Amino acid sequence: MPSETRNDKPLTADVRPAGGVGDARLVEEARHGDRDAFGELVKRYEQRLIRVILRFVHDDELARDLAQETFLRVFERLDQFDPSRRFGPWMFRIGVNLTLDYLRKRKRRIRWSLFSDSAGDKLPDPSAPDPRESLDTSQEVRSVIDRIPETYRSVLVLRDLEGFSTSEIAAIMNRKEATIRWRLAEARDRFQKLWIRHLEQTAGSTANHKMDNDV
Amino acid sequence: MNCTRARTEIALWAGGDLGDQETGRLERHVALCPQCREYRSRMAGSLRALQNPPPPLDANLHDSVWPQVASRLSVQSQHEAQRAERLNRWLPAAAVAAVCLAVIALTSEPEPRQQDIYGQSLPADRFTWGSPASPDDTFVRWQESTAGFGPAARPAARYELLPGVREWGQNSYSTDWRIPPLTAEELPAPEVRLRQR
Repeated sequence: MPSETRNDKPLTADVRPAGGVGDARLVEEARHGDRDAFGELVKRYEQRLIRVILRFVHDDELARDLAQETFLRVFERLDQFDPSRRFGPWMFRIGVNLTLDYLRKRKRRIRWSLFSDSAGDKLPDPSAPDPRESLDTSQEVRSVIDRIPETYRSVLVLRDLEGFSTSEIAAIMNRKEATIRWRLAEARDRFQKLWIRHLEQTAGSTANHKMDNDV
Repeated sequence: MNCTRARTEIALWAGGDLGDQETGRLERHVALCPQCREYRSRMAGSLRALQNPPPPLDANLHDSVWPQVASRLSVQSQHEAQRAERLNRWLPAAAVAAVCLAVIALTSEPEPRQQDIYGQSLPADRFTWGSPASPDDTFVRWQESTAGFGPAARPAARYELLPGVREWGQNSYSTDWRIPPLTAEELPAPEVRLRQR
């Protein structure tokens, strides 16, 4: 049992390489039209941002496209940035919101296409192998996470997969830390229930498969 | 501590998000509650699956997106410059037009009675008020300037005079109507005194 809270280094803290300038200075220069300063900010945060977006979209190219879109929006909105706050959480907030918006639109499109397709197209082919059998544990975890509602999933992904602290997530999601902690507890509870159910179903189907083979 | 509160704290504890003091309180509850002990065990197991190891990412994180971002920013700024140039080209003409409109609006006299008396069906741009022959009568001159001359262009061919309105004089291109002084009871409603045929 963990005896104390995680003491990770803040992942969205002002990034200042040795001998380099801090985020705040770069933001100020970028606001005055210095593209190189903005380029430096992009290079500092892009890997982290792409990783976070990937946790939601599971597609490398798409994650890179969304990261590009995020940085363009960040540049457009630099005038709205409050320089008394940290740049990292603000930038991640734009990226996460953009990604979640994209997923919502995609979900609507998929729903519409399912609705408009004929039901016959959706029937599985009984002779085809069950694709679930090829999923490894990480994919199973991912499929369970994807079944959690977005409000909780976002917090779970940022905390348990990407290691942001609850205060950082509060800054990214623009919510109070107490709200984030409550959502995190709820998200873990939901994951736990879905995960146990998933394991039970997997165990059940494996046992049935074995019985079929024995017969 | 009740079990609902304990389960929230167990979920936080499992991920290392509970302080020492709260952990001590939780330990005391869990020691006395078998259901919460069972919940803690399930939660710890599922969190292990979630966090250890985290699902790998097949991502290309080495190629920077900055070249693409920089290129798109350049295209955007070119578009903005072109838009600003177009705006600058039209701005003086638009400003002159706005000043002219303002001068016209300020210097032209309002003609509220025309609409008030003759209603919406008349072409307001073709009506001009004449000088009243007497202070008690109201005259209006309808002048056809776009339809040409001839009987068909005469206003009387297209407008009927309703009670309370008399034709005063007309020729091929203009007609004066004289509106006599009437009592309030005799006056028809403003919008029906002249009606388009």
